[in-house]
Amino acid sequence: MKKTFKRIAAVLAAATVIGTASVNVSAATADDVVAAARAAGFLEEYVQTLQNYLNVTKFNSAQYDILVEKFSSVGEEMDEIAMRYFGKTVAEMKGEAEKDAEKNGTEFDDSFLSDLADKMTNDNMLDILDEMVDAGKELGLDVTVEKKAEKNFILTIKDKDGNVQLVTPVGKLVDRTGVSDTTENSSAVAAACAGAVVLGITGAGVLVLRLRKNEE
Amino acid sequence: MSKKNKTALIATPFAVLAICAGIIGGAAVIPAQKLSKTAGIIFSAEAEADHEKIGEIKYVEKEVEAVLDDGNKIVYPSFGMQYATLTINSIDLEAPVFFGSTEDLLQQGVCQYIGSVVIGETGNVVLDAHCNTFFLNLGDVKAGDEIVLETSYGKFTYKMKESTIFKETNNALISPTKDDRLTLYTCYGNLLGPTEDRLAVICELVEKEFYN
Repeated sequence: MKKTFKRIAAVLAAATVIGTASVNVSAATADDVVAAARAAGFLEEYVQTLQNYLNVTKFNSAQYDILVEKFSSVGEEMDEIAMRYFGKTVAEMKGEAEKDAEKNGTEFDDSFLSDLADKMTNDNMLDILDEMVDAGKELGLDVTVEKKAEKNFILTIKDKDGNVQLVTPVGKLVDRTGVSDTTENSSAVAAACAGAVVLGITGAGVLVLRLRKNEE
Repeated sequence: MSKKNKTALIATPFAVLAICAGIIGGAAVIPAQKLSKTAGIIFSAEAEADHEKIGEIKYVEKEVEAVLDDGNKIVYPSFGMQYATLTINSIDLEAPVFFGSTEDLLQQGVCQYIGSVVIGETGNVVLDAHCNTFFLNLGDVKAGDEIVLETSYGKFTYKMKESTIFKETNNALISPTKDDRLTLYTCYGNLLGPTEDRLAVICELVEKEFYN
């Protein structure tokens, strides 16, 4: 009886070990995704964008795993750029910045991320955005990238029903706030007014000259 | 009367009319923009009702309640949602604030940069609007003026600290900060077309009241 019990226990233990080994136990959360983006070397503006998006858009742990994996891939690309221009990885750059802050008794300065971003080419940015598009496909989302200018893109995320979940600038982050479409005609109106004044003055001038000639 | 004189007699009123129309039309551009801004604010309630579907753009309105580290309750908005009202009494402004920024949202109110913290969280809240509509008089805000952001979960009062001009390629002023601040910006220097310069008004948080 004791032997049988031991055998059953051994089989159960073995099954547990095998079962645990074959199942992917990484159950990522939204916080893990944000941490992965930060570790990859994204500027804090983009991390905040991601945070804001994930605050209201919920995924399951398998989907968070996909996002973590994608951001890790981006991290590898960022490391390549960092190695090429600064001779160290993003993590090493961050480590140095942390040490400097500790040594000087100052606040942590993440300007190395801006330095890194400045070195990125249009193609580098597109590669990273492609990773986001791929991630979207795997999550059943429609992620599109529109190029506005060199190193200036708009990334849009829509759900399967076509509802906009996020529109975010990439590269140039400051909005165009000059003229709204409703009053865009103001420029045309102003130009027309200026034209009318010039035309009127020219016409009046011509008439005066002609009248003078007539008098002579 | 000679033929030339007759022509002059007929053409003169037209020339004078063209000059007068040009001057009056030109002078009316700015007041018309102000009127358009006022109308935009007055009818913003209607715009708000329509904003869920503007043209082909559809937004999903979703709110998620959360508790901040300090124990206060906040409601996270989804992209494109109107979730706050901006009031600046010194320039007679009361405008809806949308979370996120697109061309169509900028038509309807003040937009929050999606890479900035949600109102009530610690950091830099960045808002922008067109210089010929809602932020037409942003340049008139003076140091010490009160700026209020009101949401469904709290009221946040700021005081204008300083203003500055920056280039549109410079992201520094809209970057996250450790301190609680509000950054308002709009185009600077050209009311009739696009410009590279932006006027930023930086405000410090003086009071936050969570409704909880």
